[in-house]
Amino acid sequence: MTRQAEGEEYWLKYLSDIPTNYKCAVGLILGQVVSQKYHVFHFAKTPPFQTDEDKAAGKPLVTMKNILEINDSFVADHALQATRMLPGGMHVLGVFVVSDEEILNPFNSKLRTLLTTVNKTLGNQNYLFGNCGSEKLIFHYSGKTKRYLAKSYNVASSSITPVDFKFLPKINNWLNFEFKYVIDYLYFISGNNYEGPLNRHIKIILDNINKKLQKYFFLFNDEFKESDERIESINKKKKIPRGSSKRNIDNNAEEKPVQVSIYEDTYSMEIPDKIETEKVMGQIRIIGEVASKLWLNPKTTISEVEQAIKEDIMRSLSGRVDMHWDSLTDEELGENINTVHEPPRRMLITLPDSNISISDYLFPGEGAEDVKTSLEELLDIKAGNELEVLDLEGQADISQYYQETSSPEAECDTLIPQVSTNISSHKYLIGVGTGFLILVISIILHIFLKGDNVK
Amino acid sequence: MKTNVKISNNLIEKLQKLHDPCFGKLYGIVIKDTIYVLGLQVDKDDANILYSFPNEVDFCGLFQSYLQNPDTDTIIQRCNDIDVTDTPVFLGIKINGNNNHIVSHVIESNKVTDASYVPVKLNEIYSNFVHVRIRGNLFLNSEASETRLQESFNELSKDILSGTLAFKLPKGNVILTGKDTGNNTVGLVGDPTLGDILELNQSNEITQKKRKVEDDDYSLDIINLNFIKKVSNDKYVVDQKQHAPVVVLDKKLADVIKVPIKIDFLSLIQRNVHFSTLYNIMLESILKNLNLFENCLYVVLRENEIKGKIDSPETLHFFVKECGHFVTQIVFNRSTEILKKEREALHDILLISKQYPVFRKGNKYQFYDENRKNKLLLNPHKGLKSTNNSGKVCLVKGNYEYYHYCQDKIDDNGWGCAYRSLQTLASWFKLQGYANKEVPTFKDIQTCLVDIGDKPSSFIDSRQWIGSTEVSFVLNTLLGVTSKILHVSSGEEMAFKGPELVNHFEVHGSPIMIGGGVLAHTILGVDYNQETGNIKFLILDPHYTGEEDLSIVQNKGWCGWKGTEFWDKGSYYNMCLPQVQIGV
Repeated sequence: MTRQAEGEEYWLKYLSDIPTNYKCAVGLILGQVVSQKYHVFHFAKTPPFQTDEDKAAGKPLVTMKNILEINDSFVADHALQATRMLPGGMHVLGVFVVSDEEILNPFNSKLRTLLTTVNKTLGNQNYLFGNCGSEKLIFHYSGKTKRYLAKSYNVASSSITPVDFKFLPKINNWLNFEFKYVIDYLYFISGNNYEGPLNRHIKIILDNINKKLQKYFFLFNDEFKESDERIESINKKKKIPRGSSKRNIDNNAEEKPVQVSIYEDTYSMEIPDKIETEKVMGQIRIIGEVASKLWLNPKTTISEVEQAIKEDIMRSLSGRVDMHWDSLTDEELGENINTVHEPPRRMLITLPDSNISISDYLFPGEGAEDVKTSLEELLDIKAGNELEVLDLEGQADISQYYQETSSPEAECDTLIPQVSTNISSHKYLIGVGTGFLILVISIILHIFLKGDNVK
Repeated sequence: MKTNVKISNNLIEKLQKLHDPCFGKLYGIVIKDTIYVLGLQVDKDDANILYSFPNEVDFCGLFQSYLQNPDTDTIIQRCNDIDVTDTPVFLGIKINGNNNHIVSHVIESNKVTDASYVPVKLNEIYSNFVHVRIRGNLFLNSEASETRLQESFNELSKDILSGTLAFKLPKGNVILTGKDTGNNTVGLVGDPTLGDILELNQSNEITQKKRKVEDDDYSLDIINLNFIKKVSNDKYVVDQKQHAPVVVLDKKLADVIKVPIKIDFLSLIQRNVHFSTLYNIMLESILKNLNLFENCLYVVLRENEIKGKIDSPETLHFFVKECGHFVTQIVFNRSTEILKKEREALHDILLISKQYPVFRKGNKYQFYDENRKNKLLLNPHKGLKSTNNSGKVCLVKGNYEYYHYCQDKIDDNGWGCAYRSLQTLASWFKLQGYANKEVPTFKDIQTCLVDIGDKPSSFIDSRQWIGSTEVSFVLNTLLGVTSKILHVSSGEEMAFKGPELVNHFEVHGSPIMIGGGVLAHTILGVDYNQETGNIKFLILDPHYTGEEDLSIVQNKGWCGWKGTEFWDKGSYYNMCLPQVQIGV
């Protein structure tokens, strides 16, 4: 059976430009699978690989000569990083290779190891939801013949399926779902599991949040929807809003985003049947909002949307805490003091060539330039024109939480190290050395870079 | 505007029987210029049972029973505490023996004005009003001190009022939200009243939902709602009060108390009220429930410091026949003596006779449970046509379940009738609150008889019959109930047992197991004509093997009135008459 795949025409141009500078290149294919059909919205070339030593020595980047030179784990890491930027429902569908070698007929074993590594890396990461099944799309473009061919490879069964890949003029029919998920989760560090790094507790918290998520129910534009209903029917009666986006003037149907409301049915929520007292060594509270925008193919069913919503929340939450822990030193992690950890917050960036928005995560102090760097490194997007960055979550005024955690009247302070009540910066991990804080009250950033590249 | 005072017949009856001078509060519903007075509370210590009444039933007046004259100054002064009406009711009861005279007044601008009252039957009240039952779960974490707990309860209340809660009908995807603009309901066509909602529900499937309460001609309709919590922010814009998730680590050693709270509260609301207007009433319900919970928790905490874990309390709703309204109690697992004292106090302040229990766990109101499809029939004799015997009808008091052949996947056809009759008797003791135990299974019964030495161990899992004496042994051993055994040497002799049976049903009111020949039955009542000496027996037959279908049971005579000819002339019979003890 042949699989179907489609992407927009301009990606063929992107692919055909690659051989000009690269003899062999590899990259990621991003999109969504609906009813076993691949819907591709982005191709992103993996940057040339360079070892740390070479980088340190200032050696120039060397491009690959053939696919055997592909560094599997580097590509897999690229897939991991790129997945974190994707909204729920979107995945790294597979990889593309630009090379004049014949690689799909017969199927080159290098591709097997590459796809297996990618699959494994994505699968290892809890709550990344990196793999969408075990079938990976592989796309080959040859600069010499100007032809392309696609297959899918099942890493579990090693079977290969032909893929009929079509490049079409503007498809652009993704439906947009918006919501802000509100978290306020309290966790007690009990006496028994006191030891151990903070992120171990965070893992438990994420598991608990995930469990809660599975029980939520959702309203779409304030209505219940049947789980097998396709989302194309949601906006049927809705009017087309005024053309707010310049890029989409030529596009006749930019639909109003579907508002998602999330509810917890407290009656079916499991609660213990005992009142319990416990001596605790402290508490961890996760509080804030996750802002999400999903982009889904009209054929997606409501139950798939719901799955995508849950995946988006967990992917975003776990991604940002991972990034946060990675940024801390062991010393900082081990510090036995009250802390407000401020993981990077989500920025929603509208891709210049489609109306889809992806995410980037900014630490306090980082700004628009950092978004630009991520886009370039991970998605191979040169943000040469106007870039729409939406900072809906906003940065916390963390001082409010310090006041809460160590109020002067707090009792039983004899057993823990004295924590001063004024916010003396050296005691706290975050907010240290961040030089400046970008605007607390967030805004829609419009970065105008030398507008010489405007299409 | 003239205030109309309507008083429930049940309340009037209570006041007429008052023997001693006392003061007390009146509770009722105020609708425009009409006050429906439904319940009372006698002043005793600082007891306040406002939160035990359904929501919307408020403190609306006072009563005083006196020998000479009422203390109007005190009345007027105390009426200042009433905020649901500008014209609180004052009922003066002049004690004169058995049938006190009740005078009704309203207090208006600090003056006592006469205002005649209209007695109303429960029938009228419950055809105008419907109960809305709100349920859902909350969770409270706090440092384990009373001050901190109070703060936490306050926080929780604030959270409840913050607008994130919504209410959902269990079926049909209908939601009521707190939106103050536009349509605040989801899944409804038009703007139905509570009456409409009930009809919608009933037409779906719940045909048996209307259940007659006792023999009175009224039914209690309940609309169930669950509360749900919104965990998304509708404002998809930058919200200055909100921010990206942060992780606040507070390494403070503390004793914490984790309190799961099951909200389960009733409101009494007029049927013509629109569903869309319920939001604030439901919030109020939750807050009242929370308040009741909080107060009960402090009582328990003051008694004993909690170390480790204790059972969460149960929220129990009692529909007390004498009162004619629901009384909600939150009951912690405390010592038998304390619980008994509390029940007695409740009987006292509600002026309920202490002859038999009404506030034990078993007395809780049996709500219709959609999830239990093949539920045992409750009181299958209700609705049967009376006999033409024109005698004194004395029936089982309270509720029992109909146990019969082939239930619980046990094929006891041919041998289990006495076991089933025993189970019916045990269910009565459970539902009357006398026994805080589940109805014994066949295995329980057989094991019990082996344990007390009445039967050899081979009896367990056998299909051997039991008789009236075994029934009385089991009742005594498992439920602590003593029984009287009545013997007749032939079925014909049953015709002369009228006075004894009348007496049993009047004093004890428990169902009777009767065994004779090869059959066992349950006697639920008698219709005894003293003049003619004719007697009819209300029989519940355990030999029925069919589905739990009331119409079959009644129409085919599995539950019905039988004459003396029902009994076999050639057999002797033993009856087991379970005795009840006076008390609560």
